[in-house]
Amino acid sequence: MVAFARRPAGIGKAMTIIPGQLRPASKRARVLCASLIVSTSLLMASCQRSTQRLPPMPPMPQSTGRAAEPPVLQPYVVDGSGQPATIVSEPLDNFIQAVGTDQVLFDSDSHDLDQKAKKILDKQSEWLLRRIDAKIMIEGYTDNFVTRNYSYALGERRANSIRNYFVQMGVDVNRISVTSYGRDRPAVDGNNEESRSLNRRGRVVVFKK
Amino acid sequence: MRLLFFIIMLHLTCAGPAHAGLRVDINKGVESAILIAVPFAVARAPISGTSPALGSEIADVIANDLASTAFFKPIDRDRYAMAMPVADAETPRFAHWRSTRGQALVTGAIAEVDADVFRLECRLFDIFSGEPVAARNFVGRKDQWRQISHVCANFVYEALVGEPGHFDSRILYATESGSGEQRIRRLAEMDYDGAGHSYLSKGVNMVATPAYAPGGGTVVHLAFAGSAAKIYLVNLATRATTEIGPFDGVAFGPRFSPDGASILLSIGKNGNTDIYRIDLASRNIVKLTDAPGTDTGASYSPDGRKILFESNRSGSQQLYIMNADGSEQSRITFGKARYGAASWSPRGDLLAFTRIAADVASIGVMRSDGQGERMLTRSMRDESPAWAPSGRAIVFMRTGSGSRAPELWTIDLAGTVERRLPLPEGGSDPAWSPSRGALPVSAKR
Repeated sequence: MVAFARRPAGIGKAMTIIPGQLRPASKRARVLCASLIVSTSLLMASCQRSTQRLPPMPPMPQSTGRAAEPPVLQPYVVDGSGQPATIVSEPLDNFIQAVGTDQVLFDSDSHDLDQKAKKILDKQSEWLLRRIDAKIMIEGYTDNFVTRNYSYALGERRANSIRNYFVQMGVDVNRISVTSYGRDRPAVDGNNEESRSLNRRGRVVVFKK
Repeated sequence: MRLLFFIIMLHLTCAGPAHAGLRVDINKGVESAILIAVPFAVARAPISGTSPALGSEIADVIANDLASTAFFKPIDRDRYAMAMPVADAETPRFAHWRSTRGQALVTGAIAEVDADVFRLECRLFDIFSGEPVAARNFVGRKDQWRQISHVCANFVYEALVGEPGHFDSRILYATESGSGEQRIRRLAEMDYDGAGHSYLSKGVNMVATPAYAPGGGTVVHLAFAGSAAKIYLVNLATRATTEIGPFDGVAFGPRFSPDGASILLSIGKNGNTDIYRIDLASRNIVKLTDAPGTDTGASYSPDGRKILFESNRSGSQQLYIMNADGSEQSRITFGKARYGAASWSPRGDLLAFTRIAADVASIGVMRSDGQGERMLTRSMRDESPAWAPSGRAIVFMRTGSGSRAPELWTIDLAGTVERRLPLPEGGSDPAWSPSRGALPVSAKR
């Protein structure tokens, strides 16, 4: 839950209006109005449809004895185009509870996994091998003491190290995607070595296919 | 709206080439800075729909432009009479101006053309000889008075320095607000002096590394849409956004070629990042580097024949140059420090770079063979330099201590005039636009 509560928070946050950020208030009002109108008409349209003909019922989910999973997340929205981007559906919330942490840390400018990181990844691999329905997104991050483009490359190297480790442990490579946020989404703010060391990380996010 | 903008230029008088006695020695920089008086522009008649202080506001913009270079030092206005009759804008009383010890004088006279349009008469004089150096009328919409003032400053600059100024250019960057993973980074643009700030994205996607296309009408940038880094083209006039890609791997670091036909980018896959060129019309993609490790931060030389990039193939991040087809890759920086985020001066002679040594990141320049390194900034965290179109100034990102949001600063090439841009929030990844140009013909670019 923790991992996924954090990820979508970034998206929700982006939608939040921060005072003073959207300059012309009238424009903001117009946008709100427009989106209200759109959503209202969408609601009305869907209401109409549902009274006319009900869609077929989805198959009942198989009970797995797990706790109820949080609702499906809203798709991310691409700026401008209005097209939904990657849809991350149905987060698997017991991953972190089961394995302790979703993150491993790295040394400066390094993508090598140390013993501590490997121990964490061993636990994660076990879980991933049990839960073959889970898709895996590995995110690479860096501290802010590398230039921007280099940070994306370094983040990719880190995510790839984790991916290679999982594959070595028998996880199907086709279940795994890799991305890099570089220095752009630090776990903690600050420029001292302590905060930097917490930002040199890889994170494993699991979700249902 | 910006594209609709153009200024009609009319020759009033032009006293031929720059005055022999009054000329900046660009090799001496500060030592030869010209003391210049920029009194308030005088109105020939009241101008409807503008600030009553328009004359002083115009003079402030011009003086501020000139003072941002090492070549000019505006004279303190306390040293001369504020109120000036209109006749003095055309034929100044040089005895008075000599008493200010100034060397050059810029006068402005403003007049209404019609309800929306006004005229700025921009005149430059040599105070010692008491002769006009150059003069030109600039006509434009009243709400574009800042741009017209910048163009007048460019005119003065070019008359005395002998090369085009950059005062009518813009700066594109990614805003930075919020903290940690909740960070919001929006695409934003402003005049080179921070005025006229506007947001170009809503902040839904986290924006990074924006860059202008050669004409300045299109930008390319990275944005995180969901979990994926994507590369977008944005038409600044229509705000139409197109995605380039998707690519097989993590793609980032887009930069236009000087002809605008292709884009350099980096793609990371299986722990190995290489540099690619994508043709925008055909979407054909060509791999330019093949070294194990990280090759990234690629940008073209102004003539499009070379590519500057950074690589850790030697063990640490260093700068390299290769031919545009990827051949003859050679390392140009050596030593203990890491080098990255480099770019080629529009003049072609120098490279600006970020040097990270121990715990300090700073901006420097060097010749394109890697020799003649000269550090420009001496703060703790300066990075991401981008060149002004004149090649005479650099904009960069500066981070203070603690958790403060990064700021954007400009510095002249001599390293003497450093200015913080007035941003509404934090800023990073600056890019400097081409000059917008004052002539109607250049609006076609």
